Amino acid sequence: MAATTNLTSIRKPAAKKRQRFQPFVLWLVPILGLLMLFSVFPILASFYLSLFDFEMLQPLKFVGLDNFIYAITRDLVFHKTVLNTIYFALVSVPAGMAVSLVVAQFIFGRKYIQSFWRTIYFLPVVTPVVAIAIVWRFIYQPSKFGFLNSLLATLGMNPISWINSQDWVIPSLIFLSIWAGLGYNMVLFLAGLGGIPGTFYEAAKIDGANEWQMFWKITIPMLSPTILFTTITGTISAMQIFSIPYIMTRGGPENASRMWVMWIQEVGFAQFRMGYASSLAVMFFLFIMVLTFVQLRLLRTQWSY
Amino acid sequence: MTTKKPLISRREMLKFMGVGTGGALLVGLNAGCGPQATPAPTNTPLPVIEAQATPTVGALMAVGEIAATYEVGQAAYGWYDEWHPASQVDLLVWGPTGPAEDPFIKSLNGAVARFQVKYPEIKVIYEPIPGEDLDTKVNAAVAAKQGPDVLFESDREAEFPRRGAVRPFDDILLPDYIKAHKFYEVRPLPDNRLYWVHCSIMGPILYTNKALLAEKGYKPADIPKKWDEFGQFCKDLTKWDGDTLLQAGFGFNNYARYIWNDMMYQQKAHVYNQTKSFINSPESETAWQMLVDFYDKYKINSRDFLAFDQGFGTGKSAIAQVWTWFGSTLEGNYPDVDWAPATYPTFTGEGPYGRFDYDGPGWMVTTLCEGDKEKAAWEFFKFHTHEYQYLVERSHTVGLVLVTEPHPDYEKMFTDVAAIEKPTQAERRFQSLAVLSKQFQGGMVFPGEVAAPFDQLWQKMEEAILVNQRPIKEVLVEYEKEYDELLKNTSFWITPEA
Amino acid sequence: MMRSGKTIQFARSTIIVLFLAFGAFIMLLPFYWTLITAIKTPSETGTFPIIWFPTKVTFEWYVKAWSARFPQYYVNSILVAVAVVFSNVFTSAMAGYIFAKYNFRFKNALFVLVLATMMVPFIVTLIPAYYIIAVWLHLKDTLWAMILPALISPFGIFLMRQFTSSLPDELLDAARMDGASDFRIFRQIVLPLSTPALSALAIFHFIWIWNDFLWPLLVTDSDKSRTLPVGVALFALPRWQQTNLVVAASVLVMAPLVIVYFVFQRAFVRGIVLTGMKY
Repeated sequence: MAATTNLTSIRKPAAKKRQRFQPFVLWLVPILGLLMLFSVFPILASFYLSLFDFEMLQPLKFVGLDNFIYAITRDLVFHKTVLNTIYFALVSVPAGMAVSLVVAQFIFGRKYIQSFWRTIYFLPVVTPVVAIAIVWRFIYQPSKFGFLNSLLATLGMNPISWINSQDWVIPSLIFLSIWAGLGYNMVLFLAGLGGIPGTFYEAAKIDGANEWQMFWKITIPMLSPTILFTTITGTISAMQIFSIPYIMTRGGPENASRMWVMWIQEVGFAQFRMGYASSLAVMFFLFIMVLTFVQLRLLRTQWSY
Repeated sequence: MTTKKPLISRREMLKFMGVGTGGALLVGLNAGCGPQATPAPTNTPLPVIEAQATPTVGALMAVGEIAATYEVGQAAYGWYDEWHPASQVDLLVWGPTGPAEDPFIKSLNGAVARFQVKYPEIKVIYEPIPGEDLDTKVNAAVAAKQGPDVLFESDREAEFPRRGAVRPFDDILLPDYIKAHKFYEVRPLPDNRLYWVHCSIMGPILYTNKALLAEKGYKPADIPKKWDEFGQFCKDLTKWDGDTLLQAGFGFNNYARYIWNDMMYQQKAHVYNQTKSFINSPESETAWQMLVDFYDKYKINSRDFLAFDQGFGTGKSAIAQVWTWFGSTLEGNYPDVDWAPATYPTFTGEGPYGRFDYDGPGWMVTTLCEGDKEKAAWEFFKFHTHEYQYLVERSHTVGLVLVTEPHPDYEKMFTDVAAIEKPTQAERRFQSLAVLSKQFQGGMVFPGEVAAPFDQLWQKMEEAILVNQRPIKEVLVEYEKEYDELLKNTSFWITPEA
Repeated sequence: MMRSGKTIQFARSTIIVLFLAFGAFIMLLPFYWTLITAIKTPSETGTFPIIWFPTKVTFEWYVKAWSARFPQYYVNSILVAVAVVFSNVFTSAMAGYIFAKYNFRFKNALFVLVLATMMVPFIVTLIPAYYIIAVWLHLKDTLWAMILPALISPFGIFLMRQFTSSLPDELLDAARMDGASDFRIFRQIVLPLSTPALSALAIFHFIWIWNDFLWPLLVTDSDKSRTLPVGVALFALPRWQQTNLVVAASVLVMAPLVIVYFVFQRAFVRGIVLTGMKY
């Protein structure tokens, strides 16, 4: 009983609505101002550029919405990159979060040597991308000499072409990104788990709940702000995936692992069509905004807080 | 699109042209083939270009003076009128990166040091910039109008004059010197001005693993010169374990697109011109088919085998085809391989052998410097274009053959090392340059810049045909369209030989 | 209580530990590969199968990497990272707190704007940001060029808003009733209670700014302002790179991060313990 009352009182948003203006809020001006300078200005510049055919130091040529129309109707590579990116994000974000949550829960429950587990699971986050790429290229080597393939061989299975195969390249990248990002989410979940009062669990145990029920009825709901946060930021960063596929596969084989941001980079910096690249970036931005709104709506109604 | 193949009935393959006439021809043709709105009709034969007689290294030797030392060689090259600033000038120079003990970096640093000795009033501030991202930095510098006074060439250097990043100099400096020593003149823009010069070349050769060849009693000289015989030959060098490849006779994975490119030139075909590509031509099909045959008919390689460099470096490929920079990679990362160079096979057993690329003294003066800084930058440029020791060292440490008036003992230098059974790394590199030099005399093609979008397209084609095993014809039709689209939207520096 | 319950507990415990151990092995394996490659000779590198226990060991790669101006790069990286992390922690906490506990006009719109700035692919911001730094502010090739754009973090603001929103209002109201100023409440109540989240934030931002490569590459030209990741890139020659050297340099870049993580972890744990006791 006591547990539930505590729950509701903490989860209810601030009751009173202050209408009087608080000067403290003015701190937002310098803080957001600096942010806007380096973020909003480039976004606006992109919006502007997307209406032009711009090839770096040649005169600008106004083309209106042509860039967008071309991208949507005729750029087949663009379509593939959108599909690839969505596929990647759709799988890696929930899977990554689930794994991180489970690991965080397990580690949190250990009374001893917690910091040992925490450090080990966090190591991939600390590793520079160049080292990650070199190592995982060995692991994913398509021939029978590759690390994973040699493991498969001891199990009597045939080698798989991993990053050389149309079908396996994105799952390979997904696994790699879960491995590399586990530490992030784990840390956040640990912080969240630390904020759940132990009294809740004690009270629930007294009421006869088992581990599973406690997990679903206490842990997950109490973690909902963290879950919301990691879902949204995880999706945003998954959609922006760039360096790992760029270094490991350059988008191959034949566009199978080419992602949205990679295509923007190639069009803008390798083909120097900055206007067209800006239009792709604008579409990316709008897409993410819509996606985030949808997520906010969906997840908020699940767990109101 | 159109299935009619372009008629290339009788065209002379372009050999390397003497620079003076080459430059002039470039002028005429560039003026003629400006970017057009409609692609050229496909059933008109391409313009016939008369090949110029290539002065062979031997011929040059007969004409020049015998030089045994750098001093004598320098005397043959001559010098220039120096200008020294009245007061101290700082020069910001962006150059390649690398560890200080690397021979190439040492040659660069050495030349800069000697420049400083000659020009105490000019202070050179040398900043190494990682090559992969040099473009972004240069873009940003030009947009912001702040940056280096001198740049070093990169693989995408033709972009620099297009973006207004470097200055032309044909009206200002050295025309006679350039022609006299046969530097290759770079005029990449429709304005036909000279933006820099090249002095050496790099190209593809075969790298062979002596130990693996010796196992079967072969020597590198035994390797056949024709592709079909070559395919047969490599079967002996291939080891299978059931369905798994243990050792490739010819490991070319991830590099096949360059072989395809060379094969087209070997058949005396064009790959593309300013407005149209010929990806879907019979020569192109033959080339891809030969590569597919290496997998399926001759079975000397397999699709999921190691990449060309890893395979050869770890001793699991008997033969690889790579450009001559590969020697340094082997020396640094795979020092245990006992390798020897060999001549690149062709369809006929003789040249043309494929594509080559130019590299130069390398320094370019940017548009970001003015006044005295600009004059100082030109001094830097002139120094490096004249200093004989730099030209030679810079070429040999990277894997380039010097094609301007080289050391008259050049040929001798190659024959000296040719027979060495256990060469040092430096001698081995000379051996590979010797092979390249011979190929060059037999005929190779310079198509201009191979811009990144082209390379990307080729890579995708390779993956489509070789990795994903899509039907060749279908891929060629599709990619010819994409290539044409690319050519339509961009203006790259393309020579008539392309 | 229940005897059989205890055995189940033990079994469950063991399974969990086994699971964690297996996971740890997967986490560690690439890291171990990195460490040994940094001390291997080229002959034993890049082989198939991978040599897990090298027979010859050399530290020449570390020596080569270090002697190439690495101390200077360390100093630069540390200065930039400390400045950025400090600023991020403070401003995110403050902005997050304001968004969570105060009401004002356009609050939601502004928050959406903050979120929106996270959605711009960095590729797009590169050249305009460079323009601002190099042309308007003339800060090219200085440490400020790397510090300024990173001072405020939308990610941090978002995180702190989530975290602070779960702090009990009663606590804050009580303090206000006692006459404490807004700033004092922030400093003496909100900040201490947010230690777990702030430690997490500090760790993340330290790692991001430490490993950041593309932006420092763009805005630094000389050793006086270069940071470590750019230093590593300088070991690549125009057409190839020496694996051992690059890996050793990467380890030198990584090492401080592991130390920082270890240190902040303790603050993290202490923070959790502190908040736990409040209840």
